[in-house]
Amino acid sequence: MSSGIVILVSLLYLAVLFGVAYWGEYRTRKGKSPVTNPYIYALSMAVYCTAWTFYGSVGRVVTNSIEFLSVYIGPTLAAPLWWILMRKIIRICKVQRITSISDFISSRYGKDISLGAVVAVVTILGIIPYISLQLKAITTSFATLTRAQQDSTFLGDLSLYIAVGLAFFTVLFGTRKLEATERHEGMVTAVAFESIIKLLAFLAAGVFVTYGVFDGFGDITLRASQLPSLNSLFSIPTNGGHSTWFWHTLLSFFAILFLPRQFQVSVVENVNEDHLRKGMWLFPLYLFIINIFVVPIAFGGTILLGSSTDADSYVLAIPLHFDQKILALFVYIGGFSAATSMIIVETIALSIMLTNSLVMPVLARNPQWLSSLNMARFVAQSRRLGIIMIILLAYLYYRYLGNIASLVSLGLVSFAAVSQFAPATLAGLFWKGATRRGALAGIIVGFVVWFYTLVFPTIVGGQQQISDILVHGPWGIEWLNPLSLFGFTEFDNLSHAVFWSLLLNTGAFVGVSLYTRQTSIEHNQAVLFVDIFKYSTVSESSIVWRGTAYIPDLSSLLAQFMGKTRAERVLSLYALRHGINSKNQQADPRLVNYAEKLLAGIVGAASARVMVASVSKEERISIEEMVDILKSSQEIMSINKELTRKSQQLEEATRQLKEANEQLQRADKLKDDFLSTVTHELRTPLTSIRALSEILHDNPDLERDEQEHFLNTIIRESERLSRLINQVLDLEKYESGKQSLRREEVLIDDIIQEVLESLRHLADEKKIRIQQTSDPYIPVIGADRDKLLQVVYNLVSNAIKYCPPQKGEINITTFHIESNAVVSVMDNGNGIAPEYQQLIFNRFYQAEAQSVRKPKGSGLGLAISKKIIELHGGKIWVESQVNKGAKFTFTLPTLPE
Amino acid sequence: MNEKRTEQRLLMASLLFGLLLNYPILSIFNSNRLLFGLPQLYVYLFVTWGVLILLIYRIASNIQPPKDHSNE
Repeated sequence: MSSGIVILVSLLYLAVLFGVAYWGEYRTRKGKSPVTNPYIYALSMAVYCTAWTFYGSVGRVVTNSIEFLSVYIGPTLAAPLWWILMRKIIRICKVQRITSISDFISSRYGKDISLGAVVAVVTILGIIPYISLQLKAITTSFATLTRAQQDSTFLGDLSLYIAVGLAFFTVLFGTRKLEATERHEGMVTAVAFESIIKLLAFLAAGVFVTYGVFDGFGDITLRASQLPSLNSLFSIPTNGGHSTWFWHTLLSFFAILFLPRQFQVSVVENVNEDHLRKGMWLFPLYLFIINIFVVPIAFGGTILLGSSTDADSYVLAIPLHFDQKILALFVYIGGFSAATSMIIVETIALSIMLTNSLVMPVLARNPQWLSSLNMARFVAQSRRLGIIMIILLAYLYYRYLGNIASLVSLGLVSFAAVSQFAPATLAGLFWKGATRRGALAGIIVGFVVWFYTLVFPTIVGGQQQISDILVHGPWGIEWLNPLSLFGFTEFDNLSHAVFWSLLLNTGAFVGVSLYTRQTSIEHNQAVLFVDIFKYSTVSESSIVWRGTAYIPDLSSLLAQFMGKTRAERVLSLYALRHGINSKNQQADPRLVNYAEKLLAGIVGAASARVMVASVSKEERISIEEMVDILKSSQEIMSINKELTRKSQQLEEATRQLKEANEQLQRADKLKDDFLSTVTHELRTPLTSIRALSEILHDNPDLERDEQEHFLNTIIRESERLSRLINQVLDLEKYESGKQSLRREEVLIDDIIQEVLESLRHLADEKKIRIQQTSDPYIPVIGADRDKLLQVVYNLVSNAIKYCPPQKGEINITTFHIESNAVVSVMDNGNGIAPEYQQLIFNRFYQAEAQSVRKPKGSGLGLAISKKIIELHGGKIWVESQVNKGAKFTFTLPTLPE
Repeated sequence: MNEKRTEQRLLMASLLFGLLLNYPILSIFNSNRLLFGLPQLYVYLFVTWGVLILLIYRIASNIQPPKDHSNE
C-alpha cells in the first residue's frame, strides 16, 4: 500500500476525530452534553487500552502465554471497589476542585507544594516512555502497512512528523478554554468514539483470523497443539510465573486509578457519581470483549507467518498476508486510534500537572510577576508548552534510547511508577494520621527504588563494562544488585522491582507518618478527605480559616484568571446565596475559601492557597482550635436538631399537663358535688332522729304506742344512717382498691333464691309479680357470696321500688354464653331516661345541669354494685326507655370446667 | 438497598475473585490439557472473568440511584 494513501487516511481520521470533539462541545453548549450519558463515561475509560492492547498483547502471548491477561483482570478486580474508593475520590475532587493526581495528593497533605511537585515529576518521568511506545507503535504499523524499509533513520523521521502532528492536534484539543473544572467534554466524546473504533477494528481482525482464515477456536487450538512452540503456551511456565501473574495483576489494579489518563477520564471528567454504577461492569466488559481474539491471532500468526514477522505486528500482518487491503487499513486505523487517544489524554493530564504543580507554585511565590502577566493567557500558554514539551521528550526517548524492549514490558514499568502513589493515596483516604512527611518519604523512596531496579539496568545494560553492576552489584556489593536486591532472586525483574519499591515505599510512609506531627491545615485536610461524605453537604461551613482579607484584593486576584466582570459576578453571586454582606470591605472567611477553591480549579490547590495567602493576612491556627471549629460546626447542626426535638417534646408535655389539670379540676368539682349529696343524705335521717328524740324528751307522758312508734322510727333512721355511712365507706374501699374478694364457688340461682326470699314480703305488699327463668346449665361462678348477694338484692329492691303497685312485674332471667353468666332483672316501671342511664351508676351527678339530680332514694347502691361486678371481672348496664320499664343486666365470668 | 451491604458484597466479589483468579487456584488449571477443545487454562480464566463481570453487574444494578448532589 502506498504511503500516500496511509497518510491521507490518517489525516482524514484525525479530522473526523476533531469533528467528533467539536460536536461534543457544541452539544455541551446547547445543554445536551454527551458526557452526561453513562455509556460515554464507560467508553472513555477504555482509553486504558492503548497500542499495547492492540499490538502488544498478541506479541506477549508468543513469549509468555496468557500472562498478558493479568493486565485486564486487575482492573476488573478493582472495579467493584470503585463504588467505595472512586466515589469518595470523585466527591473529594468535586468539593475541593481538584484536577489532577498531583493536586489530589498535595491537597490531601495540607496543600503542600513540594509534594505536588514530586508527584508531578515522578509521573512525568514514569509516563514518557509509555508515550514513546505509542509513537513506536504508530510508526511501526505505518511501516508494516506500507511495507517500507524499516531502517532507523526513516522511521525516526516518520515518528518526528507524527509527534509534531499529534502535538499540534492535542494542543488544539485540550487548551481552548480555561474552565474552573478542567472539563473537556469534546475530548471525552472523541475518546469514547476512538474506543469504539479500536474495538471494532480489533474484532474485525479477530473474526477474520478465527473464522476467515481458520475454522474457529477449536481449529486454531488443534493446529496450535501440533506445534511444540505453541503447545507449550497452553500453560504458564511455573518458574516464577506464579508471582509474575500476581504482581502484574496488582500493578494493573493500581494503574486503573493512578495513570494520569485514567484519573483524568474517570475522576476529573466525571459529571455524575451515578455513572460509576454502569462503569463498574461496562468497562470490564469492554476489556473482556477486546481480549477474546488475542490468543487466536497470536497462534494464527505463528502458524501462518512464523518468525519472519515480529509478533507485535500480527494483527496487521495477517490481513496483509491475505491481501485484505481494506481490512488492513481498518486495523491500522484501529491501532492508530488506540495510540492517539492515549497520547492525547495522557499529555493533557500531564500538562495540567506540569502547570499546576511545577509552574504555578513558582509564580505564586513571586506575586510581583502575577500582576505583570495576563494570567489567563499565561496558564493556557504554559499548558500548550507543556504538551509540546512532553511529546517532544517522548519522541527523543524513542529516538535515542532506542533499545526499547517490547511494548508490554515498558508499559509495565510505567505502571510500576504510578503505583508508587498507591500507599499515600489509598491510606490517605482512610487514615487521618497519615502525614505529609510520611507521604513524601514514601513516594521518594518508592521512586528511587523503582528507578534503581527498573530504569537504571536498561540504561546501563548496553555498555559492557558497567553491566558488571548487574552481575555483581555496585562496587561489588552483591546485595545492592539492582536486579536482586538483598539477594532476592525468586521473582522476575519487574515483580522484584515492584515488590521492593512498594514495600519500602509503604514502610517509609507508615513509619514516618507515625513519627511526625501534622500541621493544622494538614489535619483539616485529612478530616475533610477521610470524612468527605459527612462534610460534602456542609463544605461551606467547615471553614478553618482565620484572618483578614479584603474583597477588592480577592476580586482582583481572581480577575487575573477569569476576567474582571466574571470575577466580580461570581463573588457577589456567592455572597448573595449565602447571605454574606458584601458591602463590607473585609471578606467573610467563607468567601475567601470559595475564592481559593475557584482558583484551585484553574491552577491547583497548592498554588491557589499560596496566592490567596499572599493577598490576605492569615492568622495561625492551632490544631486544637481547628479541630474545635470543625467539631463545633458539626455540633451546631446536631444541637439544632436536638433543639427542635426538645421543643416538640415540651409542647407535648405542656399539652398533657393542661389536660391533667382540667381532669383534676373536674374531679375536684365532682368531689364537691359528692360531698354535698352525701351530707344531704346523711343529714336527713339525722334530722329525723334528732327531732323524734327531742319530742320524746320533751313529752315524757306520751302514750306508749306513740312512744314505740317514734322509737321505731328512730331505730329505723339510725339503721338507715349507719347503712349509708357503711355504703360510703364501702365505696371508698372499692375506689381505693383496698377491697378484697373472698371467692368461693357460687351458684347464681342460689343467690337469686336467697334474695327473693328476703324481699318476698316487700313484693307481696305492693302486689308485684316476680318471675324467674333460669338456665339450669349455668356453671359455677367464682365469687364473693355476700357481695354478690348485695348486688342482686340491690337490683331487685330497686325494681320493686320503681314498679307500679298492683300491676308491677319483675322478670329475672339467667343464662350463660361462652364463658360468662348473664343475669337480667327487668321491671315495667317508669323507665330511665337516656341521659340518666350512665349517671345512675355514678355516685355523682353532673354539676353543669343542676336540675339533674340522681333519682331519689337509690343511694349509692348501684355505684357499689357496679364496683363489685367490675371487681369480679364482669360488666353491668341498663337498657331502658321512659315509661317502658328498665332492664338491668350484669355478666360474670364463670369458672372453667 | 442497604448501602453497607452493597459495599460488603462488592468487597467480597473483589476478594473472592482475586483468589479465584490467582495462584494457587490458578495452578490447578495450569496444564496443557484441553477443555471443550480449547486450552483449559484459557477457558477457566475467561469463564471466571466473565462470571465476575456478571456478578458486578448484578450487584451494581441493585444500587439505588443516589440523591442528586448539586455540582458546585
